[in-house]
Amino acid sequence: MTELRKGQGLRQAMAWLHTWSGLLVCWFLFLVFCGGTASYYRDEISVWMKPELHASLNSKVSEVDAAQRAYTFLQREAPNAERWFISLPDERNPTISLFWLRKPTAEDKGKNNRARLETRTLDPATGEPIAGARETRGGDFLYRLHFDLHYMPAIWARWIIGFCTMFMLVAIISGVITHRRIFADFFTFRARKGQRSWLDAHNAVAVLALPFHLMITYTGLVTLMLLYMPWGIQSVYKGDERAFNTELAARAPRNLKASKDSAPLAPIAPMMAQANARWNDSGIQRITVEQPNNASATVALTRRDERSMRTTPPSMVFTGPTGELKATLGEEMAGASATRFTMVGLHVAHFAPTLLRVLFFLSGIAGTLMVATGAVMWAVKTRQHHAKRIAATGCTPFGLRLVEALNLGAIAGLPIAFATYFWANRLLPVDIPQRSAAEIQAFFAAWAAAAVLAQIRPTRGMWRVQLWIGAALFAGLPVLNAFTTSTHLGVTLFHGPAVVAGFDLTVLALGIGLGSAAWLVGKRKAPRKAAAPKTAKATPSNVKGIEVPQ
Amino acid sequence: MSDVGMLPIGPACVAGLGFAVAGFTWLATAMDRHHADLFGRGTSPEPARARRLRWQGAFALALALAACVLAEGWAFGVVYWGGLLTLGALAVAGTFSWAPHASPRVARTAVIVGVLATTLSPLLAPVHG
Repeated sequence: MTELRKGQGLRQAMAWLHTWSGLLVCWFLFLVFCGGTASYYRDEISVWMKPELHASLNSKVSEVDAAQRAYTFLQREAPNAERWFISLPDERNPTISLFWLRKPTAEDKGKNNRARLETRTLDPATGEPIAGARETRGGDFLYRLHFDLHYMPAIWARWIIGFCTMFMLVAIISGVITHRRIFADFFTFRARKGQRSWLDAHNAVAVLALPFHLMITYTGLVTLMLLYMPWGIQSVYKGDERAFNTELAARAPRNLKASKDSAPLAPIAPMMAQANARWNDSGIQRITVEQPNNASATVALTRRDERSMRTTPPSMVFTGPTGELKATLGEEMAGASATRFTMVGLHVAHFAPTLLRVLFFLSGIAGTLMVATGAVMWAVKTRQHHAKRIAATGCTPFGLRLVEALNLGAIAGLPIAFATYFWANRLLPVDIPQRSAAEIQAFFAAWAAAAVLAQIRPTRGMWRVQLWIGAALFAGLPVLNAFTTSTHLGVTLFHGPAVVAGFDLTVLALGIGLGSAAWLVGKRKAPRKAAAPKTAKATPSNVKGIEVPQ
Repeated sequence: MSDVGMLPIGPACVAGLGFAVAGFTWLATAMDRHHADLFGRGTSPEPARARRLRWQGAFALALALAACVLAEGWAFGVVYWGGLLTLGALAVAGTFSWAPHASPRVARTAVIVGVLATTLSPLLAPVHG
């Protein structure tokens, strides 16, 4: 067993650190990487999961028309809300998304604001919700899963994720130090060499996408840095985060007190024109109205920032009843906050246009594979180390069996869960109550089944079965889409919407990828048995790279 | 003057990827292991040739950066470049693993594609403004 001893070289110490910091949290990291990678296409996933919207996707509506339609709808449905929140359509999300915060009632006592949040998706062409549209959380569920997990308070989840991310950062840095042939092995991949191939694959996806891995891990910590390190705000602002944010002037003041007088809102079009004139027609991304139809109402317009990585685009705040400009926020930003918001921006990549988004997505897949290959490699090495004992006694050490089963349940099981989520979206009846929750339950039910089966039989056969199921489910999605909607590949490839075609092609590619993995697992079975004595003799001396702790 | 938009982003990505693949192939060929993949076990590139291959490779990677920066400016260009380098390097690792003898041809083709994408793109897509 490789232990941490005094007098050991730096590289060996780092190998120990790399192995354990990686292994202990790898299943969490796999989930986080999968969820995060999917979140690059959060909007596109949401669109695919709302097929009733597809018909209106090809029609373009001007920003002003969309805003006016949203206003009309909200004036009718929620004139007395505390806050309106309107996201205008763009290239990636062609619908109008509305949120509003109801006035609190007696029932809402003790609940947080989220309980009062109402959501609607409007067809920009009509300004009405799409009749009979299915209820789904779409890509938002995967996005939230990435840092809020599920079935637990978000704050716990964020601490868990932060802990795992810190381990990840440690694993990356110690991995670079312990990789003694980082340049010599830069392009090296030796296929069909057992453990050697796993190490090569792990090195390739880790080293060649290293800038991305470092960036995404570090900026991931930065996104939640005020949660993990609140002491600055605690000491300077006495813990009043709102005061801190107002001083940053990064966002318009929220939770204004309503005055006693009501007053109708001024029309939105002149405000938008004024904003566009100031911002060189960059366009408006969001409209936030505080205390609509009240004398103290304010309207904040947020700039569409396609040429900026920062996550806090500037906004203009108008007086609600008169439409007079009150303030312009966030156009100039101090160095420290600009740095912070650029890092957050790099993490979430809202700024990324199509091609760059593809690159981010592929790098995310490389990260996912890095975690998966690392986890599998530990199991392969440890099994080889114990080969004699396993052959003699016929039983696998507990830790090894546990890791193998967890690997199987996570790496082969999670794709099944993702695909099941999409299948459930198409197959659950449109009008059942709590439909979006049912989709999410399908996700976790599928994953739980895969994970339990993995614990019962963590064998190569089970790997094949689960990978094949994942492959079939993913590759079957375009077929399912063809049977359940009229926007299938036969239509979308020629007439759009491109978003739907893109989703179908991506899941098809993922299905083929999982299928090839399943095929490789099956193919290697026969020759491996024949070569078993040879591989068992492989000594640590001819397996360079990361040491095997047992 | 803004340096953004001197090259449309589509061709710039094609060019960036082409230059990255060619550059990494040459850098790899300068390494003993991959030189041996191409010319047989035990061979290693002559020092002068290795030096030339390294310069050539580094220059191609710089051209990839130039294409990205010309299209998208420094801030975005560097992010594109990072992504394309990853993609290009993975492709080169794959080529040396499964079809090492094709790699010189891959490099030549990639560099030609890169040059064509940068030189022809102004003809294909009229520059706005």
